[in-house]
Amino acid sequence: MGKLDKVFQTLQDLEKHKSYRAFPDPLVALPITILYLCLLLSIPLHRVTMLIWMGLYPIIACACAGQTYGKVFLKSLIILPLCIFIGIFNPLYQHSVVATIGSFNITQGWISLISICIRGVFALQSVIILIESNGFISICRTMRRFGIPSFITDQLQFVYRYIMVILKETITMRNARMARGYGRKKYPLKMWSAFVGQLFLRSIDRSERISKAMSARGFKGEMIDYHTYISNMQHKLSFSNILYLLTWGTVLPLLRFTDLSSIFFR
Amino acid sequence: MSHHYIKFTNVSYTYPDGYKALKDIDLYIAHGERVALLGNNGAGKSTLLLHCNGLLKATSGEVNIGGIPVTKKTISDIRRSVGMVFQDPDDQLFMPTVEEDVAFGPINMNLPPKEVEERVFMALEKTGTTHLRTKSPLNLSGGQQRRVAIATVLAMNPSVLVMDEPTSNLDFGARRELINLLKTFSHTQIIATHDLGLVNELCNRVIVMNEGKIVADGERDTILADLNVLQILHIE
Ligand SMILES: Nc1ncnc2c1ncn2[C@@H]1O[C@H](COP(=O)(O)OP(=O)(O)OP(=O)(O)O)[C@@H](O)[C@H]1O
Ligand SMILES: [Mg+2]
Repeated sequence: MGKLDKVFQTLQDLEKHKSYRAFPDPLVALPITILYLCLLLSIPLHRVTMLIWMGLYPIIACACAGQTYGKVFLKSLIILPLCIFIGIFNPLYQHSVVATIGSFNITQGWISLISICIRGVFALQSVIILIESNGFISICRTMRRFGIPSFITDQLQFVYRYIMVILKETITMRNARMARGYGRKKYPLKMWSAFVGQLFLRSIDRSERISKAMSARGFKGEMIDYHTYISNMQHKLSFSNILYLLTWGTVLPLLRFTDLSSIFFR
Repeated sequence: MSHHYIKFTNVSYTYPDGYKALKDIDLYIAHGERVALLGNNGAGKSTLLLHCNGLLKATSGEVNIGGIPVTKKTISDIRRSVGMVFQDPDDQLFMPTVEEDVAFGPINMNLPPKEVEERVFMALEKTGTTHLRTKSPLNLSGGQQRRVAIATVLAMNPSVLVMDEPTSNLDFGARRELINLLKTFSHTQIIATHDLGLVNELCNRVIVMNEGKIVADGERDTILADLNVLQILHIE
């Protein structure tokens, strides 16, 4: 299996087995994730210890959702290059020393850089946990129920499907190219541009056919979730979900607004 | 229910790039008939089928389904009564799971939730796909995909079934099962196909297209014995 196939599979797995209620319910998981992101991103740059306390959330949430933290952690490292790109100039400009370890001076700049990286990694982890346990489509539907207009949430769903379509076409074309390439690895730029152009046309073509299939079945512009529909639009939260919501709803602000380090390590 | 006929009067269609894909098509298919649409690649079969539920609009002429002309106003009624199974199941199945895909049509029809559930159940039962309910359509075999595609259409309870090459890419077993399944339906059916075995088993009437025109239309055995037709279809 090539890299492309793996990406395709991963994206597709996001939707597998998601037709039954996940724990925590998206109705709970979405607001908690948003709360977490807001609190996490509002921590001042120099409060690294506070940031580290916020790391409790992804670890515990992972366990609750039945995911392996190690895997989520590895996936979240993707964001590091971006964080470093954002924070790389901090060590060069902020020279004031905040601490010394042995003969090594830790400047404010380094603290900022580290703080940006930690924050990026944690933020991405919380989003990964949210999407992996509920599925992208179901998150979109939950957003809809929170009153986000359907033209936005439907667009998001279509973007997801469109990405799947493009990937599938790319895989088909890559297979065709490899089948006739006799092991050739390098292609001139001109061929790549032809390849991309072709891919574009094919994706449009396929999207057009899919949208035909959708209108053939009476699609009038709004995606409605089957399970919500047949359960009569009633969606009762179980006790464990409410408990989850209340617990994180209090613990997260506590982590953010109290200085736990000074309580525990006095 | 004797009014579920399909009628094309003088239908021509020109693709946006200027290609004339249908030329003066006249056609009448009566209620409950099962008709095969034959023709070489590019003859215009798929183009013709897309006119049956208004996915393509005739450049000139009229398409009429059971007394209702296909126009912008009538299109949602037409789409309820004409179920279309596409040539490529990849195009037809776009929801995350099989059951959601099957429910897509009935939900868009605003049926009450209870009925949506019953329709999904019925369509999955009829096509023998109940066990695939929670799988992703992308992960099914070609034969399974084809069955699910048919289920998505059956769930809408159509009176006319339009199918584009339903047996292409199927192995012998899957093809056999599909033909048996189609035999059990009492719908008016139009089947575009290259599968003569299927035609022999299912369809008493055959329509042959060539370069956008209907060149033969009649009883199966007569048409398939016609030397002109055999030559056009390159059958020895
Ligand atoms: N979107 C399009 N734009 C322009 N021309 C098209 C388009 N789709 C099809 N055609 C042309 O219209 C003609 C009829 O195509 P159609 O798909 O109806 O053939 P078909 O009989 O279904 O063939 P096949 O057996 O290969 O499925 C072909 O010559 C094709 O090139
Ligand atoms: Mg065709």
